[in-house]
Amino acid sequence: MIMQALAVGLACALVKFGAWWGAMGWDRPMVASTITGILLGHPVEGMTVGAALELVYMGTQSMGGVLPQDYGLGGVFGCAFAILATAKPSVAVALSIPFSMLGTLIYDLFKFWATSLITRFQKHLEDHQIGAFKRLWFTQATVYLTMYFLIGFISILLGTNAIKALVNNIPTAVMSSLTVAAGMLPALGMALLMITLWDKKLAPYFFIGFGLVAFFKGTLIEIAFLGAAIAVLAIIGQLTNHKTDKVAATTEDATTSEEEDFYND
Amino acid sequence: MIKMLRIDDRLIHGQVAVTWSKQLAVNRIIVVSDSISQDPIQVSALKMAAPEGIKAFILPVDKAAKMLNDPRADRLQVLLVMNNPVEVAQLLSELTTQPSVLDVANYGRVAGIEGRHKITDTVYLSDDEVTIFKTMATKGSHFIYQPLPNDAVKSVDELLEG
Repeated sequence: MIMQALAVGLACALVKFGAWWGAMGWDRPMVASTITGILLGHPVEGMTVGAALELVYMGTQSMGGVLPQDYGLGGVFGCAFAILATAKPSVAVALSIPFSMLGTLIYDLFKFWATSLITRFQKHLEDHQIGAFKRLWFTQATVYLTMYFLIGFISILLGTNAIKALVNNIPTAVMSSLTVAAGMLPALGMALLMITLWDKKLAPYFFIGFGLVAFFKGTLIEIAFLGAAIAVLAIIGQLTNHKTDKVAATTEDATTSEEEDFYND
Repeated sequence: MIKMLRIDDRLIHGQVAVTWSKQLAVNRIIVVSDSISQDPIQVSALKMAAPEGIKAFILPVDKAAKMLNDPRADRLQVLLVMNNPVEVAQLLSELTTQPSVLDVANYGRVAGIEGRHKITDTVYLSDDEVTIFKTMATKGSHFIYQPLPNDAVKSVDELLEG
């Protein structure tokens, strides 16, 4: 269990590193879960659980420093328990939610400490002590990554047997309810995404995806394949329009004033 | 109509461009500032930050008031974003129709919190600025504090009292 705990701890630290260093999005459940799967030696399960979790957290975005749910930790732990406690993906989804909530709490605590360091950073700059500034910055980064490593390590080391016992002893009725609930969570994720994304121009894509599942019984892989092709088509169309727009803009005389543009659609 | 006037140091950014513009279903975002409207680099950067399908304008206070007071502006759904309380008070006194919501979301941290009082986590005001908000309130312009649509609405009048 030590090895698995090390692997999950490393996954937590890696995911948080890639989420923060250049905002590479490693904390998206799809990526986080795949990383965890690879480190635990089950890349395929990692990806499968990742796809299921991505749907759940699809509408959750971190915006302007506000993290409503820590989908990165949710992704790592959902995957870890699916593999280590051999839980079904639906159970993994249900288990990942409390970890994503706990993650928000931990992140806020860390931010509380990090914010308190700002006056010290400022003082080092005013005193032109670049060495001290850098040391403080590395301390902060080390605490951040170590903290997430320990969360992964300790949770798996101490919690896996408990989770395993829990998964094995869930009564059938509760298990079926969990499966149903986990089936509904992607709809919630999609709905949350739609709040920010829905508009007339994008609606057809939504219905194409829905139709592929509803009428042709498509799986996620098949839909992702067709979705990628449609995305390329859309981008090629936009690039072509962009070029012709540029030509049109230079030939059109610039008499339309800012005021006219404001009132015209 | 003006759906909201938002005071935000960062002007057009994720919270404004993605969340509020969708929530309020606006089709125009106007950044009102005398200094920024004169700076071509900031103007082009702000226009780039505006979401697709929404026209963004960066205007000085007088011109913004004139264009918004035009009857043709009534059918537009407008979001105003500003970063200077003095200009906010000036604009509100020049507008014939007041914005539906006045929201102060992020203020006082970019310029530096030195010499400012903490009103909320993301709003810091100097003594002068507190006076401006209190004066606006006596004229009927009551601000709320609500950074994101899901955040609870707080009355700035009450926050300034407490």
